[in-house]
Parts: sequence; structure tokens; C-alpha cells
Amino acid sequence: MITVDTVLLKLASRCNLDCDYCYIYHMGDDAWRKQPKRISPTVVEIVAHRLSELAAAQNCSFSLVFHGGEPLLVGATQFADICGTLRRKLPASCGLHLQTNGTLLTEEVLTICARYDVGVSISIDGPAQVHDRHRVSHRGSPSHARIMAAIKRLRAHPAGSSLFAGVLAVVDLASAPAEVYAFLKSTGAPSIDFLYRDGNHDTLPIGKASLLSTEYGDWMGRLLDIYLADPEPIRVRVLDDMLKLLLGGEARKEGVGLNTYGILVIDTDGSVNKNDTLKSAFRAADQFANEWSVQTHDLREIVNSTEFAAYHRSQRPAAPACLACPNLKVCGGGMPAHRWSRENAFANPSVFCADQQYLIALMRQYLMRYNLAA
Amino acid sequence: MKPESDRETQSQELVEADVSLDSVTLARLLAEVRNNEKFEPGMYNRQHNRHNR
Repeated sequence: MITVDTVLLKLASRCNLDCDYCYIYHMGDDAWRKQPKRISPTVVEIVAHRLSELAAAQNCSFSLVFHGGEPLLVGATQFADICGTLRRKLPASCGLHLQTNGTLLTEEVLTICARYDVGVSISIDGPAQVHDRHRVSHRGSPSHARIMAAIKRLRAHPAGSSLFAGVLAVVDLASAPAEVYAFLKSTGAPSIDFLYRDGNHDTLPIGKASLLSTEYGDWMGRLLDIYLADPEPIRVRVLDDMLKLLLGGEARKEGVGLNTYGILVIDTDGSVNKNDTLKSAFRAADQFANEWSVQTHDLREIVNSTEFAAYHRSQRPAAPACLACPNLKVCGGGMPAHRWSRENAFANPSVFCADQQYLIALMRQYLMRYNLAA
Repeated sequence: MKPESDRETQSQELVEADVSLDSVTLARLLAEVRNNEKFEPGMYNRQHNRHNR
């Protein structure tokens, strides 16, 4: 049986921000329009029951991430009910996490997170002039000041230091890596993670001139220089993962390395889907042919099915160029969504192949400087 | 996943490497690899979220 290690539970299918790069709303998939705006208490009860069965069957816990849209659009009262239901039904070893844009992270919500031990990760791209270029309301208003107020509340909360899991930033190539790193570090987050702008072979990511150009690799390379020279660094998850793979260790998240992960997504109506990042490749790319739902299907049967196994296998790179590449153990072929083309489907190197090659070469130079095998 | 024997060999090489690290980040990462820090599914950790979003 494939081990499920991460469950994304969509509490809300809408968002109160309108970030121009969002893979949910602005990359051609409109499945969100048909979803209930918020998950119902009935679906939450069923989800909790199904997940408890799955946890028992695989004899192994998983991480459950409250996701959206903006998950806190359910409101504090329903959020508390959801957390309570899941904590009652799931093993205590299951981690509960909240990935939020921060705009609705009130004192009341923080108290709920503390009561139910919910880790909080906040999306913020850097200082205001970087963040507010993309992360705005539906009326175009900036959101940075509200996010910073939320981070201040989180840090001031008695449980804040244990709840604050990190910040998540999307790379803006027009920004200065040093400025972004320094700013995100100043938020007091214990870790930062960076995402590239989504794209594929048919629709290149914003800022990437060609498959051979290395704009994202250059930006991350400059970040690497700063990170490795910082005498008081915080953790940068994606760089840590890649460096640890070069040092013979393990990565922790999808998108780098050759580990495969059991990730499933449950939408607000209870439907069970593939990794939602696939939406950025083409419309409904995240849908299983079997129209599974927790309302009608046992998660143990879904995870044991041939279609789920095929989805799980699809994380592995299949392009001949990848399979022959000396950097494969570090790059891992990237995110499946970034491998897509109409011509070859997912059997391509990542659209960020040149960027990752550049970055990995830079990492190898650093490690060689310290006489560390790479 | 890489075979256990390969990982052990590479970690052993790192243990034996005579290095003086002035990078705090590299020193931490090297220590984590040397300690063979496991990150198994189910291990409770705030960052235990494999999803790249």
C-alpha cells in the first residue's frame, strides 16, 4: 500500500486575494467554480472518518494541511469545529497545518491553532514593493500591511513560537534576492520556502525567455551566495533539500530528489483529486478518471487502486534526458506540472531544467571548496 | 530512494572529510546528514508537508 504522507484539505474553494500568478485561478483551470465555497460540517465528519481509517490501515500518520483558496474563509467558528473534529478522529501524531495568506489570521484563529496544535505557514513574497506587485485583493488593493500585522500577532501569541512553521514566497525575478532574504528573515519565521512561477514547455513561466535560459537559476544562485555566507541564517527549505541531496542526505518535499510522496487532495465537496499543482499544466489535469469522493469511496481502496498507483508513479521522471542526467538525484526532474507539453505530456525535463542545472553546478562548486563530496 | 548502502558509504566519506566550515548553513546541513537524520512519514514535525505550495 502506498503511504499517504500529506493530505491537502480544501476548506474553501475561493480566495479573498487575487494573486496574478495563482495556479488555482489564473492558469486555465476553473474547477473551483463548481466547488462549494466552503466545506460543510457533514463533509468534514466524513473526511475525518475516512482519514482515521486510512491512518489505521497504513499504520502511519500523515500531515494534514488546511488549504484553499484561503482556508480561513470558513470563519473562526467553523475552523474551530473542523480542527476539533479532526483532532478527535485522527491519531495525535498527525500534524495539522494551515497554509494561509494571513489576512484572516486573527487572535481568535490563533487561539484555535494553539488549542488544536495547528502549525501556521504564511504566504508572503518579500517586502511590500515586491509582495504587493502580485498579492492583491480582488479590487487591486495591496495586502502586505495586513500580512505583516498577522505575523506580528502570531509572534506575539504565547504559543506563537511553536505555531509559526514558516513563510512561503514566490520568486519575483525583478526583486533583489538579498533584499527578499533579509526581509523574510526579519519576519521571525523559522524557515522560508521559495517557489518558482508555474509554467510548462508550452507556456513558459513568467520571466523565462527560453528553455535554455537560467533566470530562475540565476536568482536562486544569488540567494545561495547570501544564504551560505549568512552567519545567522534561517532555514531555506528548497536550498537545504538540494544541498542535503548533494551531501548524501534526504530531501523533505516534492519537486527535488527522487523520493516519491503520497499526496492527496480533498476538495470542499469531498472529491478526491491528484496534486493540485497539476492544474497549472492543463484544465482538469488534477482529476482522476474515477470520480472519487470521500462521500462515496473508502480512501483505503482509492490508495490501493491502480489509478492511484499510476498517479504516484507519475512523480518519477520519464524523459530520457533526465534518466541519463548526472544531476537527476538532486533535481529529480522537478515538479510533474513543470514537465508538461502537449507533444510529450509529462515525459519532458522540467521547464526549469537549465535553471536547476546552473544552481546545482553552483552548489557543487561550494561543496568542492570545502572538500565535501558532491 | 537511494539504496541504504550507498547513503551509508557517502555519509561515511563525509564523516571522514577533514573540513573546516565557515558556512553556518553548510555546517548544519552536514551535521544533519552525518547524523543520518531521518524524516519518516508520520514523524511529527511542523514542516512535515511534502506539498510544494
